[in-house]
Amino acid sequence: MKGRDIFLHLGCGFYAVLLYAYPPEFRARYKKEMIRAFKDDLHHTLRNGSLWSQILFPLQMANDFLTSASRERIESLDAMGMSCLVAASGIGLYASYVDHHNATEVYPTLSIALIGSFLLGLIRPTHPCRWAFAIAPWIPFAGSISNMRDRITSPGAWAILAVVLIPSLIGAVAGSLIRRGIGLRAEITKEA
Amino acid sequence: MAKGKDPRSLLPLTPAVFQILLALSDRERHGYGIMQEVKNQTGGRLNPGPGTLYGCLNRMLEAGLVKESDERPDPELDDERRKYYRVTNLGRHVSRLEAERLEEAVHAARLKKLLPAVQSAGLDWRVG
Repeated sequence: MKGRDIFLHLGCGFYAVLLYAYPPEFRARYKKEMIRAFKDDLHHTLRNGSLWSQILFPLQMANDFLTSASRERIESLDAMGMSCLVAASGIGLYASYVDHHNATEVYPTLSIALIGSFLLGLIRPTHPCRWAFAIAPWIPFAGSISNMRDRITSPGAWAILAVVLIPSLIGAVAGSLIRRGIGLRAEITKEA
Repeated sequence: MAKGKDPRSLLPLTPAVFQILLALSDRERHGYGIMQEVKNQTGGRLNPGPGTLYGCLNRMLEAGLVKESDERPDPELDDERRKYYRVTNLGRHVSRLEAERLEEAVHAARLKKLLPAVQSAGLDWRVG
């Protein structure tokens, strides 16, 4: 197997994993076709593209992925889902504000992320991880636009994001499990 | 959904949707074929990736602008896993209306002298 073929297989495998960011219905309908189109495009770029186009290819794909996945996710939300997304952004912004005013203490920020994601997981138990991903990025990256570039390129900000994601994910999954448990119990009681 | 729908209610089209309709106007194409054609007809300025393309196709299928094709142009030469898409009558009508809308915008820009005047067969847009 040539190096180019290995790169092609790895690229397609990585892209297949990225497709989990799209809504399940969209993914079920277009996953195979999207991987096929990605494979054709990558194959053409590796075979016929200039070095510059090969360098640009992952950037173009990242741009395409981020814009289309977020759009499809937002379009797939109903009114309740959209309300939860707005609430998650509000919680994230508040946690960011608290974090900014308590530079030495991390527990208030982590508590807000944990409780907020727990409540959202409780309200909307399907795909709870999305609430964690909707809250956490605000904490290291929210603020004035002027120093946004510095924060995005700062390893410290990404480390904070990784730290904040842990309680957010725990909270959202815990809320979701409790809600599902309550639902299950209610069904069992109803049947009995 | 497409039946009885006013084509003008779908205007204006996004550049990506309009270019996809143009790419499908002469023949049926599969996803990568559409990507290549859009890139060619816009001189590389619009280069939709798979996410953008299938997001647009999903909305266009729902609106009845395109449909999946039952026939394969050349089954022996082609990968049978590919799906082909073709433009519907509504899609053709809407793309014509969008082209007319853009033509009117260009005409208005010429009248305002933002673009140079052009004289072509049967059309004289010179001003002044």
